[in-house]
Amino acid sequence: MKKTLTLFLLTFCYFVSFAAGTSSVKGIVTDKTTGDPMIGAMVILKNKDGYSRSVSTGLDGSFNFKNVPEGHLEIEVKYVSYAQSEENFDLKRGEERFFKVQLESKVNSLTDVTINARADSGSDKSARRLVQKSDQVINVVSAKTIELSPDITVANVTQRVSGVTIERSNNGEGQYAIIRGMEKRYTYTLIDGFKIPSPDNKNRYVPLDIFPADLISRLEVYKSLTPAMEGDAIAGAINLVLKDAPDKFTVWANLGAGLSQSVADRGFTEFGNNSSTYRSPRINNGDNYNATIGDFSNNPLHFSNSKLPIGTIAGLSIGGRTTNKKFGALVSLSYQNIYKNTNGVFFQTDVDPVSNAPLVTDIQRRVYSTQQERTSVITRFDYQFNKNNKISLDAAYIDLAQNQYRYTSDTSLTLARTGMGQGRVTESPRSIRNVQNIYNFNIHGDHHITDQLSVNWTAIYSKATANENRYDLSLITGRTLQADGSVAQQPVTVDALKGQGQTFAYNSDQDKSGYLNFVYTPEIANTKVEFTAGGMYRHKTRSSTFDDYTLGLPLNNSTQTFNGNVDNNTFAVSTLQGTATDPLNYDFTENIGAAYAQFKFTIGKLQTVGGVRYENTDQSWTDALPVTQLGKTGSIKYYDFLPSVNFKYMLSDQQNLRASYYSAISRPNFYELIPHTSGDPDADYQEVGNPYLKHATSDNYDLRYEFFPKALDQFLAGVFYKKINDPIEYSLINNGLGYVSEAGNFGTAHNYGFELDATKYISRFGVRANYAFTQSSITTTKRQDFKDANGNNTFRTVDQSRPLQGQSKNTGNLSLLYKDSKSGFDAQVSAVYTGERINSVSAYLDNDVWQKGFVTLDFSAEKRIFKNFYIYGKATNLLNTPYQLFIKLPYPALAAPGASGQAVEYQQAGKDTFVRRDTYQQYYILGLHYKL
Amino acid sequence: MKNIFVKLIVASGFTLMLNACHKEEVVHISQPLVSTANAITTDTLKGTIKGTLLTGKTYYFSSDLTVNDGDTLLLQSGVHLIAIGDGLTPATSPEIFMHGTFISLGTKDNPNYITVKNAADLHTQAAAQKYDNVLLGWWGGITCTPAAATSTHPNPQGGDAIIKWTHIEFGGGPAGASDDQSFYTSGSPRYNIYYANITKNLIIEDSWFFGSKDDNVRTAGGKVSIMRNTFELCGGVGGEFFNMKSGTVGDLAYNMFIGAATNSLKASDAGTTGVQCHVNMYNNTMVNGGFRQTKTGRGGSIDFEKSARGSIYNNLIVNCRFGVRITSDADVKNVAYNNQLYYGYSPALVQQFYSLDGIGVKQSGDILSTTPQDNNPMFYGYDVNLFNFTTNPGPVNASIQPYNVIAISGSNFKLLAASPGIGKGKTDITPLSSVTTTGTYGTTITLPGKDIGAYQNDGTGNQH
Repeated sequence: MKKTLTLFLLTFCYFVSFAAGTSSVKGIVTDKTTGDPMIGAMVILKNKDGYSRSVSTGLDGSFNFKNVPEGHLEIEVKYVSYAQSEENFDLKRGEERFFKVQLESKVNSLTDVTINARADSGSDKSARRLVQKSDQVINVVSAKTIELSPDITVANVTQRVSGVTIERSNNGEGQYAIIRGMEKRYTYTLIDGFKIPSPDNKNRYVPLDIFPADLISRLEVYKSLTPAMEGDAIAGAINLVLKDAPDKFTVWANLGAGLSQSVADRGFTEFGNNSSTYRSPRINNGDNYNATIGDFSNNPLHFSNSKLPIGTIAGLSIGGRTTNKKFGALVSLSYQNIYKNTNGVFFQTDVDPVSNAPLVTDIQRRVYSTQQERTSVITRFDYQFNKNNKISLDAAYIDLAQNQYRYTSDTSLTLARTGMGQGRVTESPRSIRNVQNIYNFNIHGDHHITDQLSVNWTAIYSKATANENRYDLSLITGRTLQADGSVAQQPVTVDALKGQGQTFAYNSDQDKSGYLNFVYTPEIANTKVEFTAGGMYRHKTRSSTFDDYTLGLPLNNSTQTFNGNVDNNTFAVSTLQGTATDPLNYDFTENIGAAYAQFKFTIGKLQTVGGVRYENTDQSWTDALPVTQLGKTGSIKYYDFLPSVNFKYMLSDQQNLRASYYSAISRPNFYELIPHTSGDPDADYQEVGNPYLKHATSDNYDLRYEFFPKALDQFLAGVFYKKINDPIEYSLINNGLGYVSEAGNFGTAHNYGFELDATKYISRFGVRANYAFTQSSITTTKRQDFKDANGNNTFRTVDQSRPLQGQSKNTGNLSLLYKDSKSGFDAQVSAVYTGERINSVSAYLDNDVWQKGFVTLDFSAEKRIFKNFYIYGKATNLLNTPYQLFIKLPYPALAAPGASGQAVEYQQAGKDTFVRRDTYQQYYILGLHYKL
Repeated sequence: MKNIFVKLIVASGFTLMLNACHKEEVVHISQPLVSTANAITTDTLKGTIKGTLLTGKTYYFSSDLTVNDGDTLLLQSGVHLIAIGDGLTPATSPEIFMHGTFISLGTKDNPNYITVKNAADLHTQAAAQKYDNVLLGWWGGITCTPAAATSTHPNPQGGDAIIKWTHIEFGGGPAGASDDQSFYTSGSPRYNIYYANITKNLIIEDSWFFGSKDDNVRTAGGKVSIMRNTFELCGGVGGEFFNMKSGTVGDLAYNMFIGAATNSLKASDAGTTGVQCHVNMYNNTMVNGGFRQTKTGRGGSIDFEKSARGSIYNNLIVNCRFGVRITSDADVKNVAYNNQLYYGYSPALVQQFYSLDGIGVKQSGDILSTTPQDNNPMFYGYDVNLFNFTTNPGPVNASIQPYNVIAISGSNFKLLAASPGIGKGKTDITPLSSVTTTGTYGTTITLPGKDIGAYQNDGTGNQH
């Protein structure tokens, strides 16, 4: 295995220089209690003749003195809050002396109240230890790694974990994690081990870009479950472990400035605030209220250019513990304000009704200016009554406010299209203000009742909300052919029917949960067995409202040109009462009750954790449908028994072999259960809800070898296999009257692959690399258009197998690290490769839209400038990696304008059909850290 | 003793794996509420009804009406069915939800009226060139769709709609809580008639349509026979007199169209039925269409768009903003067209006899000239040069269009004997005749005529 590792490292051209000839002193410094290497310990080597040299230990705890004079020497090793170590020795000429220095923590030996080892849980050491000691298959990213990484949001951090890729939002920032190529519905997000509700008005999953990275102590990605964990994680779970109150008074501050290359190049478009209301006039005034033009504000459609807005990254954490260590407190504040632009080109596609080949209907140029403002406050208090009783209280408020301007210029490739550079043009300036926040209150108690019995409980109230206001203007112009062959530019006019649109969407998702666990650890047959049993209950209420108001042009003033200022146009409210019947108006209740029993014991080298979990699901809803339609109200109930077992065979102190099985489920999203119909009425097919949608279930198998050779080094290699029954996918179905797009259950999907993860440090240099191979297959029904024997255009349905949406066959990460503790300099270069994957599943055979494989490259560095002050810099997306979508079907041979195969920019006959290309350019951050 | 654990390990390893147990969902979904139909006993209609509206009587409704699957609502001749509403909100613009069969048997001497209470006033305002109220959309129209599926009726198909000698006017109020979001999103204007029963028949003969807010009739499936009707002044800022989507198959002939916001007839295979939109349009007269549509890239008389097929013969197209428009994404090889007579007041109109953004070109039997005001169709009682299209090329506000440009207003669109359209029609073409029933509850198809347009010199064709 070591050979493999060496080879692995050689491929990355890693050079180490060797010292030769003269005498030298080398060694490694470790923590006496934990055995972990100590990074940055001060090692001083001196003699009576005035020779004195000092170095600090590297990432692997090692140190090295070259050209040391022979004779009597003294070596001293120091580290804050650890007892100093000294040793005298004689060194011969040409000798190479190696020391193993163990330092003992002063803190532990001074207190007689035993407090759970409160080692810095955000360190790389503890992260690595967690991976090794864990009962299950897990990957961990430490706060230290995050701090040094180029990432400022949790979403972006997740992509550094093996087998995890991210789905980006339209400003290029990561938003959702895709674990092992499985759609985001198969993953849940936890804060400190407890589930949080989602602000999304259609889905359960939580957007991860809402969390600033500096709030967390570590990020854990669980790839197998134990019975004590909630069972709806077929792909896995993401746990954000927040920082704990530290043992000693700690202040940590961070202030940085950010700059986007695209903003520097093109400026940033801002818009005004709604001066009337953020909630819909209908919600403010009741269902029967007839809105007037005075209820609406034009401000969000007033655009102005800001030359060079500078981003802000700021954080402050203050924490500590009373002298008796009983009471601890931590307050963390975080603020980020980021401005970015996106530039893109996009084709709307359809298929040719005879050949089923891709047909482009519109070409759209898009420009986005996106401001993201994240504000978070986290407070943690814990109190230890005595050695047997402890309670903690956490409160968190996390907020993401996004202001996004978008300008699209859409040239129709069918309407008024008689050649390149012609066609009807629809121009749509749009602004969106979206505010999402999550409140989370958590009270937790731990009680040791006897030596063998303890109990812990948690009560949680949490609420996620999102409020979105969208404003758009529909403008029409065009370049049309004249009889003399010339092309005339049409004036820009306001679309009389659509005019101005104002949308008000609000969602709240509230959880009240309670957890109770008993831990009983008797000794049976001389083996300590840990029995855990417990349960949880969660009452979730979700409520979504949605109103879309159209301000069209008055009939007697229906032809208005647009001169750039919307105030010069006259509008009239066309939809007086909003859209109370939009399917996004619904109330959903979900009660989950769960109980489990778990055992854990170790015989010899084999640790076994297993048991079974029971989860009961009880859902009900009321939606906006009329009573004359199916499904105004509904209820769904089911339960699952979910067994799991995790074996860990400890081959040696440094090596584990793990095997695990767990059973899991995935509950459908709320919105897809509710029997709604939505989508553009003129679209080829509508999206409908499916109240008969079943929850997906899965059997998951993992096998992993883990090797922790020394210091921070690790090597993980694993294989996995998942069999998913009733996976949920969208497909076309015939509902008796026509075809609609509906979420359904599709037989059995298989997902398997392997993962490699290696970290190796040599003195000041380190390399972290991982690679994952994933393969999956699912079969769904697609539509294929053709001309029948009678010459009529029609279609048939065909079953087609494909990988799961979002699954890349190959993904990999490579980071090169440099760390010099003495001068306080850290640097890293990180690259992520994400192989091609399905971006969206088409209803048509072979027309799935794929995302091209891509590499992103980020850089970050930190340097101590004065005592506790550090200066740092981060530069992301150095390669300006584009986001590119395509259809794996050749663009048809040249044909007439307006027809399938017409000549248009970006498309080349015979090459894959081009769908989209967005670029975000680089982002730079420069800042200062302060740590006390 | 360690044996216990070994056994436990083995047990956990194998039996638990096999014992994962997932209970099937127990699902309770509220079923569509179907109210028992009431017989018609008074002149005020409400709720769910079935039966016959009697000759010569007037009936009123101020809230939505429903006719259940399998039931029939029959209007004898001379019936006035009056919607009472203000058109401002869904609740105050009532709609007829027709899941059964709708029959309106007006006669030439005793036509039926499905209109609003203030119809007379609205007609007066229209005649005075005041259209704001006329095109407001006062009620919700007649919506013919299959009923929601229930356990007892898992696959309802909807019913036929048979409309003869009937005036239908002033529909278009905003859609709301009772509407199916798949075609009427909240707040959007409704049509005088929406028909989406793909296996059933839509027969509209010898009837009159006036003053819809957006589209007048839209079909999303159905076998159609649309014969000898008159369509006037529909669509405020857009909308078609007759808009056909996927699943529509049949004939449209001898119709008189004047003053459409956009097209008079539009065929497109948009929507997903698997039955290609296939329609024949012959011997129609279209006057002054397309000027209120504010968007570029739209039509003004006849459009064949996305994958639609069919034929266009013997139509008389006068002063329309765009003539026949066959876009390149239509089923071009299967769109046959010829023998149209075009008249254009201005150079702009003449240039668009075959819309410049379409693939249509002059055919052998077409009567068209590149010179403005050539080939005057010589109407019996209508001056084709009464409005200056050179100074008002479109898009225009309705308010600048005189009443006689967008409504019949006493004009007579029969052709004089000297008209260039006389005897130039193609008669050896065959209607699709998708509606096969004939008689009182069937259709009477008038075959293609020798004179171009809706009125034949032998007195056949449009009877209005």
